Amino acid sequence: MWARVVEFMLACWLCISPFIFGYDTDATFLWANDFVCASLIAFFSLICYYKPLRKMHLLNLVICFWLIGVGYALKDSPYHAEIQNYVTFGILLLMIAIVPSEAEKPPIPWRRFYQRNE
Amino acid sequence: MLDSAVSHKIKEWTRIPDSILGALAYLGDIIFALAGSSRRWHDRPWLVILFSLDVIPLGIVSAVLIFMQGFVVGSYCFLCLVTAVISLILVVMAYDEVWSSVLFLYRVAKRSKKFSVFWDTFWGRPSQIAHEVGIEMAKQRDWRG
Repeated sequence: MWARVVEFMLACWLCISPFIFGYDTDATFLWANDFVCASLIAFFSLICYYKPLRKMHLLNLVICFWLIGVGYALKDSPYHAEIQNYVTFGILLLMIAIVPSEAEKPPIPWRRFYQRNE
Repeated sequence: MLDSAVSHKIKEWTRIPDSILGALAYLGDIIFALAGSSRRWHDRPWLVILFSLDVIPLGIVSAVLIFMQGFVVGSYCFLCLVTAVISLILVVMAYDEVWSSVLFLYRVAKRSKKFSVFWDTFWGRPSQIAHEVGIEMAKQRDWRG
């Protein structure tokens, strides 16, 4: 489950990004985007600890593509650092979000197969 | 290098400096190396193939860059040499797992003669054939060991 912990830590980073990068107070979209995306990432990573919803981390992929898309959509804006943060964060989260929740164990279908064959 | 025309072009395409892309590629190596168990060549071949798609091109690109430093630029940079050596070591260390996974998938496809079985095995779904091939390969490894 380490990947989910890393996802939660990344959500914390996105949450404090407006303060680190010193967003303008009138950049409402960026503020809202960071807080909403951070909340969703944290939610999708933590909900995976509930076993029936262990694959919910894959929904973080949607947020990855959204953040990368926002980075590209804002290409002509003066927010260069923010755009770099979005794209870098999106690619990093993309790699973490595809790591299975119980990656250290065999996948559940294989575990069931082994149980049946024991 | 970081201030070259190519570097600016890459930044225009990707919105991030190429140095960050390099850092992300190495970070990807770490993430995909840590994900899964020592049995993932059999349980999750997709993860091993993804790992190989990250680690092998990274090693090749590092080697190509070193050749270009010597033959095009005409001088070497120490840190580039260090990263190239690390990349090549990673390729050597990753090779056996990737090869096992490719061989496993090939043998499953050959024995089953069905694309669906190969596809299921690739995504970590079990089948009797994949189980048998896995056991045979593990025994072979013990025998060689």
